Amino acid sequence: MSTTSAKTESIPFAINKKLQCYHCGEDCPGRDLYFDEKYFCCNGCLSVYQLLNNAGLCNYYQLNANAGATLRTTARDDKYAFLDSPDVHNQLIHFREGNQAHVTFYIPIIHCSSCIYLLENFHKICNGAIRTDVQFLKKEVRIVFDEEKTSLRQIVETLDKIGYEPYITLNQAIKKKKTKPGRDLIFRLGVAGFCFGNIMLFSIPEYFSDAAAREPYLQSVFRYLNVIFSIPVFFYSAMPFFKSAFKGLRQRHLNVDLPVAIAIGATFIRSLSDVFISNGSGFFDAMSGIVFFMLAGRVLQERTQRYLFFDRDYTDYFPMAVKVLNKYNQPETKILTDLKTDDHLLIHNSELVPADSLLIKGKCLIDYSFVTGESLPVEKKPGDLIYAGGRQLAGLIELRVVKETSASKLMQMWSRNLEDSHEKKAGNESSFVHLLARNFTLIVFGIAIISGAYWYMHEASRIWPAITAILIIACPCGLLLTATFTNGHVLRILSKNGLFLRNANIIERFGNIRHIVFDKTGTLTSPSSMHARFRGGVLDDEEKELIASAIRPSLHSFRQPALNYLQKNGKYEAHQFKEYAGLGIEATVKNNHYQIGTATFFNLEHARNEEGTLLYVYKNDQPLGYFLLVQGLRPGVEEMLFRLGKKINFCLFSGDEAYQSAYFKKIFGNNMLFKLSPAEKLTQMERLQSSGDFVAMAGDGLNDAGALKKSDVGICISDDIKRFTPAGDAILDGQKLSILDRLIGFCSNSKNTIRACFFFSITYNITGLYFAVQGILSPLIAAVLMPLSTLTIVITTYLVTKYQARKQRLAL
Amino acid sequence: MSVMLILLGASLVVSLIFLAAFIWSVKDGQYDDDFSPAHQIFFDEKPKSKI
Repeated sequence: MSTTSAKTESIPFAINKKLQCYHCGEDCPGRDLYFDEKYFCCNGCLSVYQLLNNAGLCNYYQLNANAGATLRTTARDDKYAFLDSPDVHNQLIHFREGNQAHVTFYIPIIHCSSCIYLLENFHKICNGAIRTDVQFLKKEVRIVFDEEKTSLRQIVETLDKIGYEPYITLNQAIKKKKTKPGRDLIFRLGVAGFCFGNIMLFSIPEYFSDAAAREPYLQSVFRYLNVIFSIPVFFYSAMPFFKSAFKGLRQRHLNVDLPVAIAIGATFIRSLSDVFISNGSGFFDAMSGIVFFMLAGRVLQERTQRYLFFDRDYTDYFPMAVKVLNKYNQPETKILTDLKTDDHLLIHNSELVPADSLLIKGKCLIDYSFVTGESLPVEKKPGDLIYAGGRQLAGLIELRVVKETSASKLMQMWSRNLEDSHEKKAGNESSFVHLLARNFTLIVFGIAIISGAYWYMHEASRIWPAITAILIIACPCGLLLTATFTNGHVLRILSKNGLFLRNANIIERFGNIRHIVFDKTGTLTSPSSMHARFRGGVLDDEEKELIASAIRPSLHSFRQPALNYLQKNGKYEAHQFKEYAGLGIEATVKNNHYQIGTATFFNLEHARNEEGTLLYVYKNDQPLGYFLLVQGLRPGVEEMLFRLGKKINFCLFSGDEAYQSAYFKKIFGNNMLFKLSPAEKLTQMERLQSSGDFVAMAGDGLNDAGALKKSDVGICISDDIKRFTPAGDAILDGQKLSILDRLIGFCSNSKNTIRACFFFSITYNITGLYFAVQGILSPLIAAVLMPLSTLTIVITTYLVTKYQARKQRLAL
Repeated sequence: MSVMLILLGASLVVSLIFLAAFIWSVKDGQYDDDFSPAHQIFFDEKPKSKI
């Protein structure tokens, strides 16, 4: 337990040695919430602790420190009322047996073993839940519950109460086929591994003992066993390579699997001919080794495919159901896809507007920052048109639907350009590895033909062994495995540093970036990077303390910046505190009545200040002054842009007004464009790309969706796992934007890594070729070279990637 | 040395059983989530009275 000392004058509020909440780890604003010898930051966290304590589940805290999520904001009472509707039940419940129902939820906050522990013991805190299965990688939970003891709504409300809110979106209402995990490759790998091990064992007597001389029939037994075991390897496990090579051939395309397929085929045929015709031992162990290691590489590649959603459309963004007024003017739940024009919607505070509609009544303040990039919310009057995708910030409103969700204006640009993503994928084929692999085939054939010609002229009996041996040895397994393992390590390290790539092909594109476009609102700036300044007179210490006390209970995003500016903890108690969402607050502190809010709150002229948002402060109905809220860049980003500028050009595309343009001009010079519509962002992106450079786009909102798709690398900046991001090639944690230059450097280095490791592994191929061209390649050498080269590759790629990561000072 | 054949046969049968077990465990979905089982061993089960 730390003690907060009294020297708070010169230390800003946030940096004080604060107590950490036992549940979520956030700073405790005070010491009042104390229970069971532990401190908590809010009633939400405290009540979860009590709940777990009573159920005997405190192991949750022992497994991981501060494992919980902050529960400062509690849900509205009827937030989940829509789950009572039988229509919704049919959409969500996917299996029923007697009283038992099965439902699967996506819970994005799942991140550690404590989450697994708590969710698997969910039945202890929710009466009626029977069993819970957690799929950690997919962040999914399947709950089996008794429909007579509890309801779907109660289950979700309990989940929300403990901080594990499920993400229920329209996506689940539209029956999407769940892709089954790719087990097919694992089966093939298992069979290949089984046969490979056995074949190697059966080959040992052949290589290392004289048994052949004494018991010739035993030798045949082992050889025939080898043949039998190699059959499943060739006809089952190796099929993916043959199929892929054949497909490539049909498209007149020398793809990377062709040399592998040739090697496997040549080895099999040569071995069969050896065993049945020439009384040799065959190369079955080399063949099954090739198949096994190549399959292992493929499985590894698939495993590194993250279970993150990279492909999104509007159904992932919208909620599943909305409140609609029926013909008797009673609110009832309707699934979003059943929404019709002229329906009357009820939208609550902080909910999304699901369809283009007209405002009928209610105080309406819409936050379009996600959709158009405007940083300031817009006030709407009755009769105004509100676009789908905006978020209501002030109380309850009634709307009349003008267009259905799927036809809404802003959603259309989202589902557009779906074909473009396929075009981008086709460009991957020219990547460095594929290039080399294609040349490999030609080089191998060249060597084989030359050797064949040579032996034809000197010793014809050596043609067959030489050519087949060359085809066996010259498998580009080294190159492919190097690429696979390096990419696997790179993806893993990038994930640890907050950057998640869609697949391994993106790594190379990342390294080739020459130009980056940044969005402003939400990408470079964030709610946490807001600064506050007070204008209108000097505030003495006592006044600052009073104001801080009034602000402290607020949930609005201005709370932290204002408190930081005042540098006071707000030690007085705020009586009769009331918060008007999106508008302002009022409280009585030491018999002084304070009101703090926007111009709308005080019914003043709404003057848009060029610099930011104004929050007026009134004390006892007298104006004191105002807070000016200014958007700053995320911490560390300014320095990052400076470092980045040395190698890569960058510019700013913003959908917002040209606020604080002087500040941004310092960083971006004249490479700034404001007030861009989503379509304009797309056009500007095309203009940049016309010079032939690799252009990346970093954005976070719907208004960036088009440009993100068009760019060569689309990076979605995400702050909150729960919040949604549009489609892109990569997802970057907002807090890690400050190391973007190092991440790009790391990716561009990985190409060198692959090259270096590859050339190292080539030595094995050359050694083998030495024997192969002479036609004296023995099965032992072939069998030994393959695993040896693989082992070297595994070790080298691991060490080199680790070194590269260290050089960029990335987390390992 | 002919005992080798019997030994070979026996060991092959055993290894085929293992292969079957592997295929069954993959089909059963035991390899779908490789994170949870490693951490589930740390979960304490407090002895409690049966409801």
